[in-house]
Amino acid sequence: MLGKLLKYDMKAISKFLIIVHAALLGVAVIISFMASYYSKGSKSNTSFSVNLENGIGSAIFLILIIIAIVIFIGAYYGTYIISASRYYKNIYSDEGYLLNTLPVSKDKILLSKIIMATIWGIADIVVIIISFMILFKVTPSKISSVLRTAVTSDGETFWSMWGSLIIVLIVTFIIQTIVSIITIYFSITIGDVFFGHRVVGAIVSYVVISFIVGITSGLISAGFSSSHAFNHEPDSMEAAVKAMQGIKVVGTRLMIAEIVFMIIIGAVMYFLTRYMLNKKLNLE
Amino acid sequence: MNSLLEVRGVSKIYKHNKMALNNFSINLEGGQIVGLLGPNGSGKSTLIKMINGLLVPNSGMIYVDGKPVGIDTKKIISYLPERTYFDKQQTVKELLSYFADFYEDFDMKKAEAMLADLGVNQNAKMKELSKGTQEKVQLVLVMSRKALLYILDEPIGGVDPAARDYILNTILKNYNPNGLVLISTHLISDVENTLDRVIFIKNGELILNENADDLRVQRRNSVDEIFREVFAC
Repeated sequence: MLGKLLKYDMKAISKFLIIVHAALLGVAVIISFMASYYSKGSKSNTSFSVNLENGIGSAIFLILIIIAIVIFIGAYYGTYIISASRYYKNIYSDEGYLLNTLPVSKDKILLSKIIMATIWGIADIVVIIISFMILFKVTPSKISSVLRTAVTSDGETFWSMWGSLIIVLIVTFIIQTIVSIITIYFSITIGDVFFGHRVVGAIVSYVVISFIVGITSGLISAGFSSSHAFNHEPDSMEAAVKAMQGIKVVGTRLMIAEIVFMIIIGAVMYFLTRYMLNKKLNLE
Repeated sequence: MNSLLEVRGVSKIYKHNKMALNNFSINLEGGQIVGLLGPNGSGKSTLIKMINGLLVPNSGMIYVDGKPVGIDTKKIISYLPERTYFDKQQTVKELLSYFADFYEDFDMKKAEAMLADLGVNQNAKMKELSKGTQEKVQLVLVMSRKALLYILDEPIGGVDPAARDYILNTILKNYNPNGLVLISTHLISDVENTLDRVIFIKNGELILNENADDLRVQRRNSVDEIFREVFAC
């Protein structure tokens, strides 16, 4: 049943999101082409060494960059807004009369909507990264050669030095995405239960929850940094290397602490949402 | 015979302390078509929503075929709400597969035949259809399930009289002989001859639960007239 729910959830939100993300890639390709056209003659091969003496060219170029930024932001927030609206409409509006009378558990309904938004949240970042790579003409082989061959000051490769931190960062990002989605759904559900006005209630709840989670997360970071104070300037190469390694170790630990914190917060909100969908649903 | 629908001491209080149902109890057996009749705000919709798990009672319990409201009861209830409930971007055909996906008892062939009878184009998107046609599609979906309990909230409110007859005939022809059909409506004269039993509900309380024929004989009047007397303003 989860698969079937997910199929319909994905179908409902994907049409619009595919268009937005395709537009994002399209604009990146156009800008990249224009940049190489206008930068012909100049020796640099990056997009941003445009010949600014060509007034019309640079004006169009600027407009395209602005459009790209708008689409970037739109795609990022659009994904969350569309997921939130699907959740709200599907469960609490007239559509809820169908969804909530299907012979499926609230767990599956909730999971399907979390998976739906997570898939798009991750796809979103991947598309944005690809767009940046198109804009700056960075190929995957360039990145991997940097990762493999770039050598840090003490002879380690970039990857062996920073790899673990990068992996932890990616995991943090994925969990952050899932928890953000759960926060949005939780806020909508609280908005329904405790406030007369669902949409306003949802927004107020979201702001309050984000504030509390942000403060707590900030306190965790502060606790970690103060316990590993970097308050002196490194005075030798050796000290600098040591400091870098310190940052790596503390950074990784901090990220892991944040991951644990987010998993706990996410789980609490998930179970509360499920409880309210089961016990407090009020389709009046 | 065992009761198919048992409502045991159910109360529901809305915000601002409005009592929608007050210690409401009823026991209904299968094999009959029951009219749930009452004026606006009497508690009909509240009761129906609670049987379907869309509202949670403040106290009391509801059992369908002996099971408390939940996934197992949703499998055997086919519910027609008083509003259209689908994603209007979907086509009629997509809705049919949606029902086939989620309800094991959905009869695709029957649904397609009924849609053909009513002249509904399956490739049309729901938003392109008139409100009356949307309601017909919804009724076809609901009546194409082989459910044990059909709950129809105002099933004929928005459709024309010709379709009304087709729909009532459909309900009569299709329901499971052991099943129960619960129809809530204020168009009593239209359904009067279809009903085996009538329930009157007022201010969240049960005021009458009688076999329709017995009621007519006792009071020497039609259900419609009796309703007007009982609920006279």
